[in-house]
Amino acid sequence: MNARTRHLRAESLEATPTISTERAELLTKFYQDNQGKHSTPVLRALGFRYLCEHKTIHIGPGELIVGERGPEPKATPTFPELTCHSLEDLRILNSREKTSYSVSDEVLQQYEELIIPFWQGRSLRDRIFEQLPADWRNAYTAGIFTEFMEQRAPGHTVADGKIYRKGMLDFKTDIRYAISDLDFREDPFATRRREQLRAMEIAADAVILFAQRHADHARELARSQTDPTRRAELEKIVEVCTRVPAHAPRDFWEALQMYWFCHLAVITELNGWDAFSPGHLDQHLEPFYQDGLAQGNLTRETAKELVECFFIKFNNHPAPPKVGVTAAESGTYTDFANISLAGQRRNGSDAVNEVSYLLLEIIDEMHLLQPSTNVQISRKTPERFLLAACEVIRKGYGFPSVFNSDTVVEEFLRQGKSIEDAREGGTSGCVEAGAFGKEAYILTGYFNLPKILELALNDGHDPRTGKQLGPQTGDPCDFDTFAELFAAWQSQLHHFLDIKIRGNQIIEQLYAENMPAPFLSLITDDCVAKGMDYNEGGARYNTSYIQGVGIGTLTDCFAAINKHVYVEQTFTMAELLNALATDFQDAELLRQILLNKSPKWGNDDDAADTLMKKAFDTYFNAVDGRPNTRGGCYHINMLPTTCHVYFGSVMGASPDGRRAGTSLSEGISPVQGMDQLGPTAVMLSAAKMDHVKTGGTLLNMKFTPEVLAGETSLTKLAGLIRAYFQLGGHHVQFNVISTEALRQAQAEPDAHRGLIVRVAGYSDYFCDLSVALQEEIITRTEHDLKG
Amino acid sequence: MCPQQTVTNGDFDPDRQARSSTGRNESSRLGTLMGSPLSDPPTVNSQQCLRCGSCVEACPTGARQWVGRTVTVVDLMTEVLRDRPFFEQSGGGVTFSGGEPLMQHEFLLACMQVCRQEGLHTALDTSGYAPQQQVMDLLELTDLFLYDLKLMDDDRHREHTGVSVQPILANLRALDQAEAEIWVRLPIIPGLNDDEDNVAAIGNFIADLSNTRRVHVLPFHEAGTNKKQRLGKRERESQSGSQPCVPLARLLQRLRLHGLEVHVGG
Repeated sequence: MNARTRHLRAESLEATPTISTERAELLTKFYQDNQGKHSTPVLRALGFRYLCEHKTIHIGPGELIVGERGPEPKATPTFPELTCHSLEDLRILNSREKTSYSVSDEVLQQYEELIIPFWQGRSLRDRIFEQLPADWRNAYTAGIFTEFMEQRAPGHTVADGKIYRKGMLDFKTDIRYAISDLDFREDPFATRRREQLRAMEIAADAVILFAQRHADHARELARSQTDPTRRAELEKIVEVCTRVPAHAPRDFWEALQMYWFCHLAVITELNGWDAFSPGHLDQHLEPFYQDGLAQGNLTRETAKELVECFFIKFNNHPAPPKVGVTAAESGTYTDFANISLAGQRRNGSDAVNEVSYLLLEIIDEMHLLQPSTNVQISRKTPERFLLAACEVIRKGYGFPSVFNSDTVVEEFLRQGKSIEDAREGGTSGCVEAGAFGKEAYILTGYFNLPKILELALNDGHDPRTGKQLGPQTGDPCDFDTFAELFAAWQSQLHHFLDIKIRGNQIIEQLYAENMPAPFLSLITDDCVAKGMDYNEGGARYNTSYIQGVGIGTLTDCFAAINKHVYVEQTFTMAELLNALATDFQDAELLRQILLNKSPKWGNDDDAADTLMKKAFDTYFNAVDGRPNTRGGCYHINMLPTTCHVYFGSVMGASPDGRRAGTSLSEGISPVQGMDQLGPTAVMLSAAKMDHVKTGGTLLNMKFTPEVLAGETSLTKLAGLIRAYFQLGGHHVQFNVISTEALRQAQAEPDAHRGLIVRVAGYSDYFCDLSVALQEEIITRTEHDLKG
Repeated sequence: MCPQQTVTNGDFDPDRQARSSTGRNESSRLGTLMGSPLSDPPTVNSQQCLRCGSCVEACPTGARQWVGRTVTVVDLMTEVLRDRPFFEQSGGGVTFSGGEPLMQHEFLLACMQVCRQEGLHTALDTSGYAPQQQVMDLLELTDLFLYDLKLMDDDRHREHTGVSVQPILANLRALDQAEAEIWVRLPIIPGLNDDEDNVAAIGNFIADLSNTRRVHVLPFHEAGTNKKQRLGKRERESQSGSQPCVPLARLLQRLRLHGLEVHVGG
């Protein structure tokens, strides 16, 4: 880093997240004047344009890449058309201990006087909850599944290389052709398509306008700028913001700014989950980098500086604030924008290039919370690159995380994608796989697999809420075999998946009808060609995911029950249920047996692992291939974000020896502390899952710094990764930090503000995490030489 | 509690052969265990210990554990081969160590033969104190010898280990003559074997070997004290852990002067 980027980075770290009502105010005013005058798509696009016309333009001193989501860094807008926060919500956001957002009195006043009166009852969330049936709402409240679309738009996609080859004017040409191709005689939907396409065209113009305002502002700043260096920079900014996004970028700087304007547009239009991501940035920047070097108007240092400025922009955008369950399922500022390195090119060749190494260097030096970064390792990825990535990994920021590019491609092919689209795709969010630029791979909420077992053990009754939530699948004391218990779990699973999917269909349709995303659509294939919006199935691939959480806990529960109740008859089902109901009061002996004398997932022990497969297959069969309403279908993935903590909090004690209310296992990792035979055994267990049948699995591993110190350790880490990937694993990520260090940080957070750890598919500041999540991370097994 | 009471079959170690259970009751087995509530735990009489393992099986928290078990060649190699994908990536293999692996030389030979068949790299960590034939039998099967040298003077060696150093040196020479891959390991016990004389003698000896150049100096650690306690042995009054005769840096330098490739640790 140089002086400029150090300064900008410090500024970004010091800025505190605040709520800005600018967007809400502007949009409310727009709706007051315009609702009812236009089709929904056009209304949304015009609203977006209104925001682009009127929102504050911010160009900070020293910045090279420009543009903010809110009026200033970390000023976070709200989206009342989706979720209208109550005053109480805002006060909670302001005062809560973790992931708080500062709420000024003006903000409260605006909400009270303008925003709530208009949007209450009108926001999509209100309408969603109104339409969802009682059984959905009961299951949701009980913590059987979550659904963030009640607060965030679907989102879930990543940019491909289009925006580096085409400008908005080119997209507009495509749109106009698409409109002129519409057949109003034969196609009953032609009018609808026309409206969607018009909306996209308006959105394209809006972004051009937004960029132009930056150019104008930069010009003004340049005029009054006395420092000649800065004046020259501002004049360059004028040039860049005039050129992109209207036209395709011509050089490295324009390429970065082009992406950034697109990013801002996506996250201004809606608050899509996972914001937006550059995807294979090293591939996209490579030609600009090489050309710049060749022509002499770019050096490695200036390129590095520009990318560092670019990175800092991501860090200025905490996620739009969430409340309630959705906050608990992902209690973090991270908005999951992801940058991928390495991987494969469209033609299958290795994609590692000089920019890949440059990015690694930047990741190492800057270690910012956002953007998230990952490396996509294929069998063609050179060892040198993997080792360079391992060097960064062992420093302990928790990134980059590591993905198996070959398994990801297989996953896509299984799902029916073309090989080129598969290779151009990758992973984003936490670990989800998607065809960048062409797929809407919407995650529809997390699913509490162990709680389903709790219901099966209670004949469908939820002990926590006291409600009969599920079907009556039988009194488990009457089950003579494990198979009967498993069948009960399966019945409960099917019952709640049906409820979830029925609810999803409702939510999907509400978004399709009421909340199109015209800008996102115009840059996602094949929305323009089809004349369809992103949220209604315009993309080439339209996938829905349900994330299975807690497979480790569930496996251990099944293994313990199988062994002790049915095979060895150590105790009866009645004794077990009694112990669970009282959270093991007066049953410590039984709890110790469950903890220590039962097969555990993560130890390469088939006594547990075959039960994992059984549960996984059942979940897979119940979900995979079911149609959604966007012309695609459902698949599963296995990642938790922070939901394993929430899902544990709504569950009583479990048959793996877990105490009531405590966290479940995360991702596909073993229950925290239960893997006792080392990292190879964990991976051998994990490899028994059929990763190719998912859209992503998440495996967390923790090492102390000592284990990875020294030259040979890097090779060993790389070897471990390669071996796991050869066995088919989708992803692995590493925390490299000692438990003592974490305890210290817990005790003295102010002295450890900079400590970043790996949570789920993202890193976060340890001190920003809830205590429950901190404890969970500490308990995650350390593979230690002293073990 | 021991040794007559029958207990459950609940073993946590996946590799152990399942013991046959003696008579399952209709009612829950927990009752038997619960008959000895946590407030009045069963006691173990180590004087009468028959090593039946009942207490290990009964202990619900796993606080009592077996150390050491009987395995067949097949048992062991099956477990080793589970990690094959990792060896293949890392270029690693199997290191046979101890104690002294040569004290089970037939078993060792059989296991190493399986390693060869399976294409695994083999290393043998040994004191070298064994009949020469046993050592040479392993020559073809061992890719790397990790060979300990502690004290060169025979009297001093006998005093601290109970045996002569001569066979150890003879075996080392023989292996070296046969061009085996050898890394000599010098565990340092400060005040006991790190004096100038011993270091010089070791340096000279290795320098005189034809093919062996590599030495790993192993700095002192206290990891053994825990084992001593668990075996019920008291800390011996000895010179171990006392002040070093020669600072480590100088020791390394001394060895390097003999033209040796000197590493620390590993």
